[in-house]
This record gives sequence, C-alpha cells and structure tokens, in this order.
Amino acid sequence: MGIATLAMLGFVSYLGWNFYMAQQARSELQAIQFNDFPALKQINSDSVDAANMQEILESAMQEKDLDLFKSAQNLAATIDSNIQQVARVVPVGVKPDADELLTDFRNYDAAAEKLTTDTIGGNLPPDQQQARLQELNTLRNAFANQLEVIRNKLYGGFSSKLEDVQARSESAWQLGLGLVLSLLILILTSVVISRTILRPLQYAMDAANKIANGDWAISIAYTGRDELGRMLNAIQRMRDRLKSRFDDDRREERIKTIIAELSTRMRGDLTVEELADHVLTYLVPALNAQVGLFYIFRDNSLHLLGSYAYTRRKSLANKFALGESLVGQAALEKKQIMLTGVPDDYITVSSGLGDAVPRNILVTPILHEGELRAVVEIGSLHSLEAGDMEILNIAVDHIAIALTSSLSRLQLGEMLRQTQQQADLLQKQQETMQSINEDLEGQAIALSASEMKLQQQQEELRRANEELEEQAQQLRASEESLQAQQEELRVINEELEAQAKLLAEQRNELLEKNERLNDSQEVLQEKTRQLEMSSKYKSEFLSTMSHELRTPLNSILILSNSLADNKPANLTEKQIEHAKVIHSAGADLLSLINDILDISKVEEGKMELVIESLALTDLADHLRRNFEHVAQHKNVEFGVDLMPGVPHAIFTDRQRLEQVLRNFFSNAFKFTPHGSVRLRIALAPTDVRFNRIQPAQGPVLALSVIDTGIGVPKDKQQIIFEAFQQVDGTTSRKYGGTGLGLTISREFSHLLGGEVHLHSDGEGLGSTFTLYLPVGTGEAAADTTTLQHGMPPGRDMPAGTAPTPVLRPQGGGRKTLLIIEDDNDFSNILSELAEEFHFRSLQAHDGERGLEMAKQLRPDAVILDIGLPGMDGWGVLEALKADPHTRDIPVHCFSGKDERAKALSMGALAYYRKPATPDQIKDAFSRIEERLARHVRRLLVVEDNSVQHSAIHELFDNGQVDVTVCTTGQEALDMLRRETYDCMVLDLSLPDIDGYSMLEHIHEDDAYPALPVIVYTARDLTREQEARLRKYADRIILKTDQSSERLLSEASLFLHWVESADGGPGGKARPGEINGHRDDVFAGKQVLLVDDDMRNIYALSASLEEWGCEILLANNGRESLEMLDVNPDTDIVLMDIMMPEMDGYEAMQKIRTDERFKKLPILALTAKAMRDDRAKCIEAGANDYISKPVDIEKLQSLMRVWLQRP
Amino acid sequence: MIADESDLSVEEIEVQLLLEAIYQKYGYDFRSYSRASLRRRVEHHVMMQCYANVSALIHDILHDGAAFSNLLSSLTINVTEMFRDPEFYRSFRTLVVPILKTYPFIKIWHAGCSTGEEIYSMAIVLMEEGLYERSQIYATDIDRDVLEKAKRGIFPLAELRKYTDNYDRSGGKGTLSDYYTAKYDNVIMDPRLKKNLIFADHDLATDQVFGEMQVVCCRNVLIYFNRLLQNRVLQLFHESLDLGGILCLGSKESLRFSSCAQTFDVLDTEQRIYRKRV
Repeated sequence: MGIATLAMLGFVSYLGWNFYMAQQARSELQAIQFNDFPALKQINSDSVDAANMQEILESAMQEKDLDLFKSAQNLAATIDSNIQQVARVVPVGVKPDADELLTDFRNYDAAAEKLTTDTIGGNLPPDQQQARLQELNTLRNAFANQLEVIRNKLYGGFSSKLEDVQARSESAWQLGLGLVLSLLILILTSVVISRTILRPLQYAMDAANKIANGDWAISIAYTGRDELGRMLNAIQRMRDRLKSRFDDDRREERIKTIIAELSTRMRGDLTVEELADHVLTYLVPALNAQVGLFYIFRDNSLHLLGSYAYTRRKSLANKFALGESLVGQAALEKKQIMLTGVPDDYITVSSGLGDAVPRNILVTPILHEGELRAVVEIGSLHSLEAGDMEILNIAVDHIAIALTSSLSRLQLGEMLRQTQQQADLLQKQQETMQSINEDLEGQAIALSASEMKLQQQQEELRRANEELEEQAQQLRASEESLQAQQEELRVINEELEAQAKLLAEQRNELLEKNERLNDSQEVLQEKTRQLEMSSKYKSEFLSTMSHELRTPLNSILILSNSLADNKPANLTEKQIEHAKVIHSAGADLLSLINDILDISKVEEGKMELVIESLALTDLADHLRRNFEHVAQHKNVEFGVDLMPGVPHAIFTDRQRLEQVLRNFFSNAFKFTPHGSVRLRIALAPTDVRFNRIQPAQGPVLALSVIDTGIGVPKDKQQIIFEAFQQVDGTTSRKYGGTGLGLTISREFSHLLGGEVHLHSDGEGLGSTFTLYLPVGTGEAAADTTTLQHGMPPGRDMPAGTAPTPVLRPQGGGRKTLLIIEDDNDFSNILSELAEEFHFRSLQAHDGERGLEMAKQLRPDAVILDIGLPGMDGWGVLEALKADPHTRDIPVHCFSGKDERAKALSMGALAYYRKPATPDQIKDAFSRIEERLARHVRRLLVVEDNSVQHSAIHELFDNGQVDVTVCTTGQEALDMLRRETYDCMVLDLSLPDIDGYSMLEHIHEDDAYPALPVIVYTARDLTREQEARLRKYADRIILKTDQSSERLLSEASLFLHWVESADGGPGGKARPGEINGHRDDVFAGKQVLLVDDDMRNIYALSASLEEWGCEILLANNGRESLEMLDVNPDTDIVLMDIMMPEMDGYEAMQKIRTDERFKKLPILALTAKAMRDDRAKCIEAGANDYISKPVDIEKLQSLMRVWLQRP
Repeated sequence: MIADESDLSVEEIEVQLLLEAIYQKYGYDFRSYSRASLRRRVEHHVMMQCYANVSALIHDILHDGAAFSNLLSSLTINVTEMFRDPEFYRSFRTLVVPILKTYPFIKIWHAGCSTGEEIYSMAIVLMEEGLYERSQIYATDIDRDVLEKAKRGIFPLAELRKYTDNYDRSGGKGTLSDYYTAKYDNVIMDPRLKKNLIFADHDLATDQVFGEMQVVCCRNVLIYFNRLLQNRVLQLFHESLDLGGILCLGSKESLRFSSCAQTFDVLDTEQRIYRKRV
C-alpha cells in the first residue's frame, strides 16, 4: 500500500506544482493586464495629449489667447498626473525611465509655458524667440524620445511575459504526462509483487498470531523451499519450542504451588499429629493419590501418626521397627521405595460407592539433615508420574523441616515448664531468705545500739569520777578556811553577847511605846470608820437627791419650754413670759444642782477623769462657736488666740477643761459690760511660779481668759474661790450666779494636775483668769480606747481629727499590709490576722489617708473596705490603679459595711442623761435615722414614772413620730412582740426588769426585731456601767461576726496568696525559724502552780525550773486569782482540783469569766479517776488534765503541746 | 546481711553522724527511722541543695538553723490529701462513730498530721455526726513549718476536685464546698472547723504520752520507722488510749507483727481500725 500512497503523494505534488505554475502564469497575465497594458495605453494617450498641448500652446502663442493658455495648462496638469500614475504602475525595471519621463515633461512644460506666457505677455524679444523655440523643441524631443523608450520597453516586457507564460504551460503539460505514465507502471509492478509475496507473508503472520494466542495446534504448511518456506519453517520450529517450554513451566508451577500450599498447611505451631494430618490431607489428593499413611520415627521405631482414607485392619501393624516391612526398609535405607503392580488384596481404596486396589504404592522416608524423622506411604490408583514423584521428593524436605520444628517446639515447651518451676522455687526461697535477713538486721541494729549505750555510760562514769576528785580537793581547802573562820567567830560571839544585853533593855522600852501607839491607832481607825460611813451616807444622799431633784425638774423644764413655744398659739404675751421665767428658774436650779454634785464629787475624790488627746485647734473652734453669739448679744468683742509654739494636742479630760473655761467665760461676760473678752492659749512662760505643778511634769500650757471688765479688788482675790463666795454679797442679785463656779473650777484644775491663777490690777481694770495645765503624755491615754464609741452628748469626737496611722514597727524583712477600714475594732482584728501571716500592718481609717499612705509607703498589699466615710472605697481603688507607683500593689476589697450597717443599726445605742434638750433628742434621732436610712416613725418609750409621760410625749413628739409609752419592762416586751417600732427609748431603772437585762433579752431573743435603743435615765452612769452598755453594744456587733468571719476568711486567703507570690505556694518565703533546741519552748515561760500541798509544789517546781520556766505559786483558788490579776501575762496554769477555800473548778470558772484569760491554757491536776470527773474539769474551763501522781515526762509533753499555741 | 561495723561505708557513717548531730543539737530523734529511706532522702537533699557531701550538710545544720529547717522538710514526708483512702473514713463513720457517741467528751490524737488535710477531714466527719462540739482534736507533727500551714487551713484550689471526689466516696452527708471559702486560687477551711483543733509539736521518737485519748490516728507514718521505733510508738499509742479506745493505722501498716498485737481487737482488718482490749 505504501506504493499507492507514494503514488498519491506524487500525484498530489504534481498537482500542486501544476497549480503553482498556473498561478504564476495568471499573475503574469494579471500584471500585464493591469500594469503594462494600461501603462502602454496611457503612454499613448499622453503622447497624443502632449501633441495637443503643443498645438494649443502654439495657437495661444500665436493668438495670444490666455484662455487657450489656461486650457493648455490644464492639459499639462492632466498629463503630469497621468505620467505619475504610469510611474506608479509600471514594472520596476521601467520605473526609472518613467521618472525620467516625468522630469522631461515637466521641463518641457515649464519651458513651454514660460515661452507662452512671455509671448503672450509681450516679454519676449523677437531675437530670443527663435532660440527659445529651439530650446523648446529640444525639450519636446527629449520628452518624445523618452516616451518612445518607455513605450518600447513596455512593449518588450509585454511580449516577453507572454512568452514566459507559454513556456511555462508547456512544461507543465509535459511533466504531467510523464507522471501519469510512471504511475501506471508503478501500479502494475505492485500488483505483481503482492501476488507473489504478500499472500504467503499474510499467511505466516496469521500463524504467528495464532501461536501467540496460545493455539499451538495450528498446522503450518509450507509450500516451497524459497525464503517464504524457510520462514514458515522457522515459525513452525518456534512454535514447537514454545509449546514444550510452556509445558515445562506448567509442570514446575504445579510443583511449586503444591509445595507452597503444603508449606502453608504446615505452618503455625502444629503438633506432630496435626502436622501429619495436614500433610496427608493435602498431599495425597494433590498427587492424585487416594490413600496415605504417616509414620513418625520415635523411640527407634516407626509409629503410625496419621492416615488418609485408610481403613484399619487388625492384621496390619501400626508400628514398625527399622527394616520391618517396606516402611521400615525405606526408613532404614533412607530411600524411596515404589511398588507397582500391587496385588489385589493388598489394600483397597474404598468409598461408599465401591472400592479398588491401588496401582502404585510409594513409600518415602522423611529425612532432616540426614536424620530419619518419618515415613510417608502413599497409594494411588493410577501410576504416579515422574512429576508426582518429583513433588513428593521436594515435599518431603519441607515436611522434614516442619516436623523437626514441631518436635523442637515440643521440647522447648517442656524445657520452659521446667525452668518456670525452678524459678518459682527459687523465688520462694529468696523470700524466705529476705525475711530471715530482716530479722537478722534488726537484731544487729539492736546489738549495736546497746553497745553504743554501754560506751556512753562508761564515758559518763569516767567524767563523774573526775569531777568527784576535784570536789574532794576543794572540800579540803574549804575545811581549812572554815577552821580559821571558827576562831574569828568565837571572838565575835563574845562581843555580840554584850550587845545583846543592851538590846534587851531597848526592846522593853520599845514595847511600851508600841502599846501606846496601838491604842491611838485603834482610836484613829474608829474615827476613820465613822468618817467613811458618813461620807458614804453623803454620797448616797447626793446621788438619790440628784435623781429625785432632776426628775421633777425634767418635767418643769420641758413643759415650761413647750408652753413658751406656744405652738397652739393660745396664750397671752404675759403667760408666755411667765412660762419663760419658770423655764429659766428651773434651768438655774438645775445648774445649781449640777454644780453642787460636782463639788461634792470632787471632794469625795469620786470624780472620774477621762484623759485623752485633745487637739487645741478643735478646742479653740468649739469655744469660739459657743460664745460668739453671746458676745454679739452683749456687744462685746470676742476672740480666741492660739499662740505659736503650742503643741498640737494635749492630754487631759476634755469635759472638765471645757467646764472650767466655760466658767471663766461666763464670769468674764457677766462682769464685762463693754470691751472685749479674749481667750489666749500659749505655753506658760518660764518665770511663772507654780504652787502645785512640778517641773518634772514637763511643758505647761496656759489658757487665759482676759476681759476688760470690772476686775477683782486685790483683797477679794482669794476668797472668791471659796464656795458660795462672791466678791460682793450683793453680786448674786446683780449678776446672778451661785458663787460656786470658781470653786469648782479650782477643784477641777487640781484634778487635772494644774492650777488657776488670777491676775487683776484692781477694780475696773479688767481681769485675767489663767488655767495652767501640764501638756501631759500619752501614758494616760490608755483609757481613750474605751470611749471611742462617742456616747454621751457634749463628748462627740472633734470632727475632722486626722487619726494618726497606727504603725507597728516589727522588724525589717517582712511584708507590709495597708488596712483601710474605718471601724477601729475590725481594723485591729485584720491587723492581728496580718500578724499571723507575718505581715507588718499599717492602718488608715479613711480613704484619703489610706491613699496618702499607700503612695508614700508602698505597702506590699492592701485590704480595702468599700464602705468608707468621705472618699469611698471605689474612689480609693480607682486612685490606686491610676497611679503608676501603686498600680501593681494587690488589693483585696470587701464591703462589710453592707452587712455591718445592718448590724450597727441593730445595735445603735445612744445614751442621754436627763434632762435632755430637744436639740439633743433631735440629734439622736437624726443619727439613728442615718443608720436606718429611713425616718423614725414609731417610737416606744419605757418610763416608769407616769408623771413623766406627758413630758416625754412633749419631748419626743415632733408631729411625725408616733409615741407609745409603757411603764414596765414586761409591758414593753409585750408591745415589741406585737408591733413593730423604729426605735425604743429605755429608762434603765424600771420596776420589774433591770434595763440591761432588757437590752440583752431584746437582742438575744430572735422574737424581737432588731431595734435601735436610746437609753434615757436620770442616773449618772459610772464608768463601769457605761462600759457595760458599750460592751453590750459591741457584743451585738460581734454577734454578727458570722459575716465578719467570712470577711476574715477572705482576707486570710488574700494574705496567703500575697505571701506566697514570690516564695512558691505555702510560703516558703519565710525562712525556718528553728534556731535552738526543741526544749527551748519552755525557756522563760511563766507557769502558775496552784496546789495546797507543798510537797507537790516542790516536786513540780523543781522540774519546771530545770526546763527553764519561771514559777508563780498559789495555795488555793482565791490566791490563784489574785496572782493572775497581778501577773496577767502568765503563760500557763497548772491547777490542782482539791483545795480549801476555793477549789479548782470554781477557780477555773472564775478565771474564764475574765476577758484577759479566756485563752489562757489551764491544765487540771486531778487525782480523780472517774471519767465524769475529768469531763467536769473540761467543763469548768480546763483545756486538758493530767492525773496525779504526776508523771513528769507526760507533763512535759503535755505542756509542750499547750505552750505552743499562739 | 548483718551490717558489720567495719563494713559500714563512708556514706553510712555520714548519715549516722548527721542523725546524731540533729539529735544533739535540736532534739529531733531520727536515729530510729527506717535507715534505707532516710538515706535516700538525705542523699536527695544533698544533691538538690548542692552540698559537696553529707559532711558539708552536717556542718551547715550545726551552725545554721535555717539550713536545718530545710533539711527537716526534706526528711519528713508530707504526702497527704483530704479524705485520703475514702473507704477508711466510711468505715470510721460506720464502726467508730457509734462508739464515740457514748462518750461525754472525746479526745482524738492525730499523730503525724502533716499539712493538716486529714485533720480537717476528721473535723468534718465529726461535725456531720454531731460530735464536734464535745471533741478536741490534737494534731501533732515534728515539723513546725508544716504545722503552721495546717493551722492556717489554706489549700490550693487545684486539689479540690480530687478532695471533693474523696469526700463523696467516704460517705459525706453534704458537699465539701460547705466547709470552705475559695478565692485567689486557694481555699480556706471554715473557721468553725478550727475551733476545737490544737496543733502542737510532738516527736514520736522522743516524747511521751501527754493525755488520755479516745481515738489515736496515725496513718502512713510508721512505715518510715524501723521495727524498734515502730514498737515504741505503738506502745506509746497503747498507753495513750483509754480502755476500749480506737487506734487507726494507714493502709500499708499492720499491728500483726508488732509487740502489742495481742492487746488490740480488730474492728476492720482492711482499713486497719483496732480497739484496745478492755
């Protein structure tokens, strides 16, 4: 076919070439048509046109006609453009000529036109005419020639092109002819070839394909001996070879498959029985056999291990020795034995359908590394082929290996079991050995311990010996000195005897004197007793009197006041005036009573002082405020001057001081009709001579009231200080006053540790009363803490006193905690908590101060109460976080105020003394209302004196309050249970229940709602009573310590977190403080031993002292209380139970009632053995007990436990 | 192998000397503790604190109390958790509490209280059974630092889940969260639980009985003592206990091989709760 393609290709190329030729011809013809021919045409017409032009110009020249000239010009232009076109169109070879033609024409045209113009214009001189004409002709000729040239060229080109075309087509035609001819020849030849060659080739190809597809059987007939035949031959041989190869492969494959499958069947941990079974089961059918037996070589004989389609027959054995039967023989020879032509009764291959005798029996020994392992016997109905034999031979090797491994496995298993058994045995033995070891070790240690002990004892003995020797020597030396001393003593003795006689005489004299002294002492005592009794009567009388006097006075004052107010506006002026007089008389009476009481108290020495810090600026402000309007009213100038150099504060009893100053002031105003009254506070000048103040008392303050009044005449200056004395007996009538004021002032000034001086130049020259006071130190300020709750009126804490931060310097290296909390008590509790966490604590009681301290001192942590006065907690927190210096300090906030505000409202307690002014009551109410955050609407008043009821109604009723009055405590309790009240006013002296009990009752019984209470009583409360009231209030607040507990827990967690922040959890930051021996716990501890038996005391105290304790002794319960009172910092008490006067139980109970000793460890020493008695000890207040006789070691351990508690 | 004097290695001598030094100087007697484990801990401490050898450590502790505190913390094992071995607490509630309810006053001694978790666990059990008010729990340990921590009753918040689980499994009647307040990654035990707790320093090797107890609890401490010391301590407990008093040991400890095995009845073998024979 290739040939045809080739032919096709040739033909196609011929066509192409032909086409190309034709194309060429066409283009040439086109060229002629479009270029040469038009060009020629144009040239011709140009020539004609040129001639025309010539004619026209001539005519124009002749006729001198411009119009003709113009038409000639137009024609020239046309010719020009035609020529240009020609130039564009002509073939390249002719182009230059065309250009030249154009040039020639233009020359000619220009000249012609010029000539014509000149001629027409008359510019042409006749002589030149000819020349010009000639010129013109020349040009024209040139043009014409050129024209001719072009024409000829064009013609030439034209004809040559035509010739070309013709030649081309001729050659094309020739070629075509030739091709056709050769094509024909080719076709012919190919047909011939195919006939002779291709067919047999095709045949051969078919054969090869069939062989490739696996058809081995095709016949390959070859016909001739030529190449083709030979090729066919070759193919045939190839086919044969392939076939035999293929057969071989197939056989091998079969063998391999069988062997592989056999190996697979033998894989795994098979027992020999399983192995035999698997082998036979697979191999026998694989070999196309029907029967098989497997004998294993064991114990020097062959045992039947497995069988395939074998029927056992009794007469045939299952066991062969070597050499016995064919099996044994094969085994012995280690060679395969084949039996053919098996007799008919040899063995039958049977199935359910029939049986037959096998044709072949094959016995094969199985050898592993030359060792016999087993024998396989196979029976087959057909002859076993060589291939089968081969399979068997190979299989046998594999079987041998598998068998051997199986046997080895068995062995290994056996050995492993044995090993394990041995191992177990070994372990048991080891354990036994170990426990024996331990025991032995123990004994060894015991031995070495006792050895060491012995050695130690030996050492000690030796040391003791040496000491003894030393002491013996010392004794001898001292003996000698003793003798010398004895001599001296004898001499002294004699002297003493003489003196003794003298003394005896003197003694007798003294005895007599003593007698006399005793007598006078008795007289004195009797007098003292009488004096005491009378003063007792006096004070009783006074206090009763005050109560009795004040009560009706109360009514008088209040009711008269109310009348004077005249609210219902139904009184006349005169009546109002009367009421006012009554009121002022009552007021005077009241102040008189108060003054008398004060004086008597001072004289009795029963005046109690409360020393606290008083800021002088506050005092000045207070006094200024109080007396400004009086001064204004009296039209007298008034001023308070604080001189520079005075201390910031002094320590004194504020109330009394003010009383003195007030007395001075009222006198001053009374006796100064015009002018000025000034108070001057300064340090006392050094030249003042004091009567009572000692220089050791420190700096002295001088408070002087200077007035420009009537003065005091010199002779009266002393007596005015006497009671009831005034300058002039008539003074009281003119100026009023009782004459007691100055007396009281003087007494008070003495009480305060100072004195009063009067200076007046005389009558009409003014006077200066100066109170000198030592500035005082803070020691007496210990009392201040009891009065922090600001109870009685006129005693309010000066507002705006900046509390000084309470710094407890405790040694460096500790973290500092800043506590910002306005409740002093809670702040102290937090401070103690901080102490437990080894923080140094600083306290601030308001926000601004706290902020200041935080910025200055940069504490390590801050605990902040949200509810603060002034700047509240949130403000402080914001400020702390805004300042980069304090931003990183951890802050723990709590808002205890919410819970404690409620608590405070529950326990809000105010105390007023009768009679109270309406202002005071208003003040109390507003304070309560502030705490309650609502108005007091319902008021319960408990007052036994019914006469007082109307006064009370008046006093408390301001139109908005609903007042209910009851007269007994019980009635009050009932009312409280039934209805709700916002506030209760309670008189402490009720007929049925004592006021305190009532308060306790109300607050402890949940049946009564929380209630603020105003205690309103005529009695003066002693300090103890006040303290009790206040303590009671405290307890109420403490009762809500439930909530405080939670606050404390959170604060503890905060401190723990801060503490461990850089020391790891649990605070390893604190270095361990074990610096001494464990037994140091006893050193310096104070122990109180209470026992009536001196022997016990002796025994115990000896040991206690040895440990380093300090001992206090008491013989009974009562003494123990006294001892504790005197030594309140005792660390632990050992208390015997059975003692005279007051036994241990009672003593312990009493001790526990004292606040100071609530936490004191007390160990009871009890001889009683009964369990209940011991429980009784605990109930009585003991922390623990130890029984008598006391085991000293046990006591030491026990004390160690109790002494360690903080 | 009995340790012959001449066979003692240098390390063993050093450890012996160290224990002597501690006893002489500070009064803590570790000489009868299980020597093998002590030695391990000493060596560990030496390595952690970068001493050259044990002798350098001896020198340091004799002159510097803080070094001794450090050593003490290494020597005493402080593995503990709240309601450790919850089954023990369950058994305590079932078997021991009914006995305790018959006493008017209960004193419990918990020796080796470590950081106090088990003390508070006991307190909670007592409170739930209504026995707390008449109980007094003495918690003793040899290490004062650890006693401080126990007194504070502050534990890390991360452990609370495990503790709560233990509590539930021990038969707790409420929830563990009733007894603590949490903040700042820690919790602090309710102050009510602290009321009747007394923490004190007591060395089982040297100190004596200090009171008569109804219950003595000493769990997972004896295993660190040698046989001799164990016997001494058990004798101590025996003396401290009231007739019919209860002794509780740790789950790996037993009375069986000790000298006072015959003087106790067994209340619960598995949980190691014994009662003193009357």
